[in-house]
Amino acid sequence: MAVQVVTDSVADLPPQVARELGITVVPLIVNFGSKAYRDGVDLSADQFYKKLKDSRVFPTTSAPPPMAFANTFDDLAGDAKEIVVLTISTKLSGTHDAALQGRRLMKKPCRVEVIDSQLATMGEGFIAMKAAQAAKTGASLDEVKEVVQKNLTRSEILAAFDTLEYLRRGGRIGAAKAYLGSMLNINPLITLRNGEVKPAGRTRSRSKAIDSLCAFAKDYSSIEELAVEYTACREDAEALIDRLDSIFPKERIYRSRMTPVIGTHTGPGLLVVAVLGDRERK
Amino acid sequence: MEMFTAGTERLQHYAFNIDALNVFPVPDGDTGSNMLFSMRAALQEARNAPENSASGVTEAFARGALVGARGNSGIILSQFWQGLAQGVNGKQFITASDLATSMQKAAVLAFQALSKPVEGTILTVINDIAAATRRESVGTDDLVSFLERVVDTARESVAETPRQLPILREAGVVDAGGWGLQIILEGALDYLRSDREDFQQQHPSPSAGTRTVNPPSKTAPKQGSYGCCTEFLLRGNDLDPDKIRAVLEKRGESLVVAGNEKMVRVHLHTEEPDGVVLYARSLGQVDHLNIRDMDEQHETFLQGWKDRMPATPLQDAVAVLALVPSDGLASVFGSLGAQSVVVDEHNLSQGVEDFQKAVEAQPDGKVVILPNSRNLFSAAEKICESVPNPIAAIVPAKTIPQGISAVLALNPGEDFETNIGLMTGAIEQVHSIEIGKAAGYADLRHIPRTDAKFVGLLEGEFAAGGEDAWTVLQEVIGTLDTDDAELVTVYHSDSVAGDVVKEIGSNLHRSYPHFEVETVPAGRLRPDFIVSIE
Repeated sequence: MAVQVVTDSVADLPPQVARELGITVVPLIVNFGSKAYRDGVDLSADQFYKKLKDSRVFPTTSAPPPMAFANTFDDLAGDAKEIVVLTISTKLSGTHDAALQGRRLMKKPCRVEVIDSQLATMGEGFIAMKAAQAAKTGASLDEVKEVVQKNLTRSEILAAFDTLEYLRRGGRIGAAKAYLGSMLNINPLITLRNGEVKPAGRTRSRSKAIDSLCAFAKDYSSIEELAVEYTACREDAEALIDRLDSIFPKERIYRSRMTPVIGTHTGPGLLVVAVLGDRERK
Repeated sequence: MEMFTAGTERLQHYAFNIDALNVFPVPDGDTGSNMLFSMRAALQEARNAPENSASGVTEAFARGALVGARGNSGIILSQFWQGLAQGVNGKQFITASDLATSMQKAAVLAFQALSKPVEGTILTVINDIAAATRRESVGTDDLVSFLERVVDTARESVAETPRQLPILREAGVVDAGGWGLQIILEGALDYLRSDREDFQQQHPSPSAGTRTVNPPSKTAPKQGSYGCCTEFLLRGNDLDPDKIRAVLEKRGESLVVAGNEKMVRVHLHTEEPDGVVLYARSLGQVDHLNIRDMDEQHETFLQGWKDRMPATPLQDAVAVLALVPSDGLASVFGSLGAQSVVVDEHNLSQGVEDFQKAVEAQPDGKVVILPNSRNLFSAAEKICESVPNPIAAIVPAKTIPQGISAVLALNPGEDFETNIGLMTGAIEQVHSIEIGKAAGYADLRHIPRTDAKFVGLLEGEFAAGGEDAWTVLQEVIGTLDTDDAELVTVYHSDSVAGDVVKEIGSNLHRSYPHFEVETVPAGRLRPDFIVSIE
């Protein structure tokens, strides 16, 4: 049986992609007050953004419980002898630790490798996809690991925020805190570098921010995969996909709705472009 | 049972705040979470209690707390419940005097749990409560008023902790564990009073809003290593907590040993967790073993603090120095991460001198200069040439809107040269308009004489004149191709009345519905308005 690939819900994999490639997704947790929901399982994106707007309680998030990983590993270990786990950046979440603890708690014998993607969203999702594709063709665990390592630097995201308030409240703003406190309305652009939130520019308007997302994708000399992700701003995402059509065929662009856990830290106006590809820097 | 639940719920509410106060014994910021975890474990056990009497529930609660206890504060808390359980042993209902007896036991047990009890912590709070209950329980059987006095005592005692423990005083915080206990008791009291709805207003927390919590990085300097936080539950038959305490005392710091002859909970910060666990295994069965690297935990906690710090300047590698005509605009540039020098146009030589000093004061040698005025351009160039050390580069912004566009284009992820390119490119993306009273421009040679009351400048050159600011602004905008523009920002001088600013704003909205309009106060300016269109 082939190597099994596991990732977390913040990889934002569209459900049919995960299904087709046989990727198992372990949900993180969203807490509203004293109620805990499994990301994307107990709480859909639509329900979440409605709650985010209506609820006076500000949600928080937590890593999956180690037992969730342990159970997943035990389930998969029936067929597979080897499992590779790709997690959100360790600098943003304790999910990686939870997976390691899950490995300790599992009962069946099975080799489990846990890898920090240093990313989140489809940036992380693309790596999981590459790993699963390799596994499908019969690659060994070490070969799958190699594929992952090679693609870690090829995957990048750029995010257009309409506010940094959510990122700040959730304590994950990192170096982008330099963009706080502006007396003018600004639309910050944020990326993840070495697993951390980094500021990547700011514009005075939403449409200029979307221009920057386009320019980011256009900067690539070759694109293997491209995704546009949105929280509660589907129209902006569709408009962006139309514009990106000239550099990458529209029907191959993944549209992905960001999960509630990501939405908790970004707010409803986030738009993300994720690219797996190569670029020669000008 | 419900009292415990209410107490836990309230604790959950504050767990994060309690974490933030945690500076002793190790500033790892987990006191609130640990207490919450312990309470939850206790509740779980109490819910499954075989009998529903006061004694049965409390006993189950205490057992649960011991099994689930996490961290120093969690273990002390579990001892507190042990004492309570012993006090109500065999009783169907609890009275005030039962509680008083229990609290004495609780205080004794809590102190026993620690190898080195320290005043000014949750222990002191428990002791004060015990003393108070001894006084208060005489002659009363009203549980609510009794518990009210207990809570008052707890509050006073918590407020006193900084006086007793210097490290708390230095950090400007109260003891986190003590405060956690206070919150649990408040929750229980609120339940008894059945007014849980608005408990937050009734009892403002001692930290939120009223007290500045200093980051522990300043106040609790890390000394040496914290070792590993080692916790486990030891089960056996003839366990002797006192003897275990005596043995482990020499093995590390922050030792807590709690329990009875069947079950002992141990918490210890040690450099040799393996040895400690081996010793424990020689006595009985070791469960719930948890070993964490304290140094790592400490780092994570400090990182958490750093993340909550206020905004810092953009990036050291690329310093930006803007020349501005007013304090108001200095604030705007400052909020975008640039330093500013205010240059009074009537006292240019002073301004140039300040500017030169500011350039020379740049520590790490690379600075981008934004003149933001055609009048200051050549002065800026001269200064750049004259200062040898910092590599100063001028980005040719000749108006305030150009300067702001340039600052916004700065990308901290890019190097100095790339940023100069980005900033210079951004200047082209914005139109700058200036509207002012004609009299104010009489001394500027490049502005033609006019009889009009107001003049309008476009990119620093005369473009229109007219009887009022709005007419002139409209005329200037009319000369531009604004199809792609979407944002108008109006920086107004504080010499312009508020309703005039409002009127300009609403006129813009009406006449150009596709524009977003933002008005920004800019301090005392020569023109009435500086307007950017982008």
